Amino acid sequence: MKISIARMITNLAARGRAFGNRFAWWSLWFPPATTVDADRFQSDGDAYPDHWKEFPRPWPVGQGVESEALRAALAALPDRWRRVVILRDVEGRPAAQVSTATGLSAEQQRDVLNRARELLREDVGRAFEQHSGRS
Amino acid sequence: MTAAVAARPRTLTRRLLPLQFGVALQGLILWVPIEKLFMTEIGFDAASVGAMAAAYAAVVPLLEVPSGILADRWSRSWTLIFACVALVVSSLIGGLSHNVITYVIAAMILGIYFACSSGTLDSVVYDTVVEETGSNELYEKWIGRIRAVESAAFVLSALAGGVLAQYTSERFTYFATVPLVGLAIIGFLRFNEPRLHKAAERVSLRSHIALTFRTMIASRIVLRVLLLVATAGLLSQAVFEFGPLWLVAVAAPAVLYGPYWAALVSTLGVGGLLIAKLNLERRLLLAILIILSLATALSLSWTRSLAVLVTAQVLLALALAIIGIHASRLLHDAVPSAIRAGVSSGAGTLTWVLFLPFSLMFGWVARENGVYRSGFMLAGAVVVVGTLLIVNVRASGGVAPVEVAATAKEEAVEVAEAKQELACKQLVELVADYLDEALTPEMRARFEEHLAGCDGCSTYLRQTQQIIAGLRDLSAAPEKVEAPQPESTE
Repeated sequence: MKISIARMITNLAARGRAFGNRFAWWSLWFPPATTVDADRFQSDGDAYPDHWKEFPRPWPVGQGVESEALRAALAALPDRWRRVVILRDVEGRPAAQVSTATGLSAEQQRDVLNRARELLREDVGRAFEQHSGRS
Repeated sequence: MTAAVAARPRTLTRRLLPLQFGVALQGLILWVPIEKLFMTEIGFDAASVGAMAAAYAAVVPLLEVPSGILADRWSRSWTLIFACVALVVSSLIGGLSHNVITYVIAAMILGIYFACSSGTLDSVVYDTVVEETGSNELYEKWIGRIRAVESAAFVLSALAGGVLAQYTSERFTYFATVPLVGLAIIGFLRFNEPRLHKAAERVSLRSHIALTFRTMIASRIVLRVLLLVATAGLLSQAVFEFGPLWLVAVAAPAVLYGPYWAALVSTLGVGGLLIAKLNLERRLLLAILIILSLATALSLSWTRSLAVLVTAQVLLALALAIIGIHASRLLHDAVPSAIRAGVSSGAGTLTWVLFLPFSLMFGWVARENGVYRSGFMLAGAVVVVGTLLIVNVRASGGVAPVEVAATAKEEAVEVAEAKQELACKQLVELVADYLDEALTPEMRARFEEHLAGCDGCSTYLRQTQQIIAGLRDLSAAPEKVEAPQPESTE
């Protein structure tokens, strides 16, 4: 139970970072937040600045993404992002159609998608690890 | 399903429930209606009441901004809890007082409560709404609802406090308040605080304070909204503070004061509920609101009819409640989350700073020329508020939130071009563009070149593609996923 609470908090924190970027005026004051946590990359003093500190852990081979984990991760997205993800990635609609439905330009959609997919990737990756930890 | 998964999709309504619970209980300050009575019993006279007001007025503005900064840096829930503790301590000391000195101390501790809770609550609501829905659209609706809960609690405590004092004692109402406020702490403890203000990088306290003040002073947009919030606050404070003077002037029967006060306080809640139904970006509505305020303010100087006076005051308070909530949204729209409570409290301080000379002048004019003449000051203030409102709404271009700022991506492209090289940190920003084939040919070449030599990024891209494939499969699954409609954000 404690672990799940800790996870909820890290999830929220991760999402908070992604939000930080969504308001243009914030960037007047603060450096823009990144899609992937900036801590995951080496900083200027390290051997390879801007490269992964630790590679993303590979997922089990030959196993598709579990739809249950993906569904749960999708449900945790903010409504507006989920809407874009569902229209574009689940239903596979073209960008122009989604533009009329949401009022977001194709460019803005890509920005939402990039961040949303990263959150989903993180969540699904965690679910994989949980499973391998259990078995 | 594991517990973690089941607990995660939280709706806005459920999330704000404990906050409303806390606000309701915190509003049940039972001793408010009988405070003046109790004060005279323990030896206050007109001069010491004035001294107490001065002590109180000194504490609140001094603490407002520091408490807001505390809320931004530390935790908003805990600042609200700290406010509750101050209220409990103040009620206890007040209830135990047998002389003026201890009661003044209680009043100053009450000032801590006010400073800590003002500005913090609306910031916390704004951030929760943005965090849950990804947009600010529902802020007015929710802050309205919470203000309604708060004012219902005020009305209830105004009625219950009087009754309680009648059957027990005045002193007892102070002690009866303590357990209620203690319960409010539980509500705030259970509230899942938004993390939005923690999203930005930590900065030193000094630069945080500097940023808060710089934002309030240097940005013209923020300054303009700040003035609007402060003058609207000043005016509604003036109506509540001086409104009863008109009733005194027309020698209204004492029995009327209770219902009159309840009606006035309930406008805060009614206004909060109304604003969800109104679209203040519509010019006509804005014009009606301003004209209504002006007409009611002016009628306070003309009429001697008690019914008209009370109606005018209630309508004016209602219009001001609506304007105040809208103004607070404009303010929150204009500042980043990390300094939200600080700036919001700055508006509170400015209200006090403006209110002090205003009330002194109002009192002087009322004494020299009668309250009717000083009523023109209210009309004058309405003109100022109306002008500021029009200027601000026009400048905000009808509060449209900027949807998505692709700043991180733009920065990634810039860095990649400057260094003539694409590193992992920049690559991850461009994945969606790569998959949509929206990259320039040279950027695409660089992207693929990097991929060929980097296992980490290959894994990253493969996993992202797996996610997209998984999402595509969901559409074929038995329980199909439906796209939420824009209105279904609740």
